Amino acid sequence: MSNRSGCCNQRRNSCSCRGERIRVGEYDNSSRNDRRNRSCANTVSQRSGENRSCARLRAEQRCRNNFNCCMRNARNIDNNCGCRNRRSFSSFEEDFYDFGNEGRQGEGCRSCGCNNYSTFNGIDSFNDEFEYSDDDYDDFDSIDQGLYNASLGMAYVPRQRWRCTFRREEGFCRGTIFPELYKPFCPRGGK
Amino acid sequence: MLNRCELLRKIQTYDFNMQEAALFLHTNPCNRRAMEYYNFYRCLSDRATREYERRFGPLTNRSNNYSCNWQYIYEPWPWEREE
Repeated sequence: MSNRSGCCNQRRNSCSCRGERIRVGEYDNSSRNDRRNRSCANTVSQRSGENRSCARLRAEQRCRNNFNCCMRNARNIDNNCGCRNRRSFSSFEEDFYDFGNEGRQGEGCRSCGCNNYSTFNGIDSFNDEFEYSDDDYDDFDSIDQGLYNASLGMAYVPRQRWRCTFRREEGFCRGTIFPELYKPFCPRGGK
Repeated sequence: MLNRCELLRKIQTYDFNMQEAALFLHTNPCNRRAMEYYNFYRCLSDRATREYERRFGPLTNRSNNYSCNWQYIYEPWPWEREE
């Protein structure tokens, strides 16, 4: 990302890495150290203390690219939930949709109820346009590595059915009257 | 006849069961069995609460029935219960 603003290029030479850029699609196929090494060229200017205006320019450029990419992808997208239904758009989304040019509307993703915004559903194409910096990778810990492409804040909870219940006093002591919801915290995986 | 502590405990369990059924009904508002369960414990809770307040004083500040005396403040706090 550093060379997009065009004012930090001289610092890139101070890095001893191979200087390849890394794309998000490559993320799963390489070890963490390897990734760090390859992405180093993009972040060395930041690590070695680029000035503040340069950092701001880079951020602005990234923001512009982000927005343009979203607008391009807004017309041809799949739902992140995997259902691949076309969505219907609310008035707000239509306004956003019309910003580029023709305002096409799709059918809704009614089966999963995800109602994802169109901008971030085009995430595959979105990723092609961007590289993550070294700092971005720090946001993914080992647990999240398989989830970097998932929607934030989406959860699925099966609907509860009324079955048997604990006796009055027992439910009070256990903290729930429903046996299926009784999940005492047991370290070591419940053993 | 139940003493104060036993009666209070009973009210707590009634209310807890009632509340659990209420939470279930939030997502299953048409469930008949849950509704019956809720009504059953609500009835028991109301009855036990009335008895407690008649014998020992107000359980909540809403049930302070003394017009010129804030009796609620003289009742034991939860951390002062005798168990």
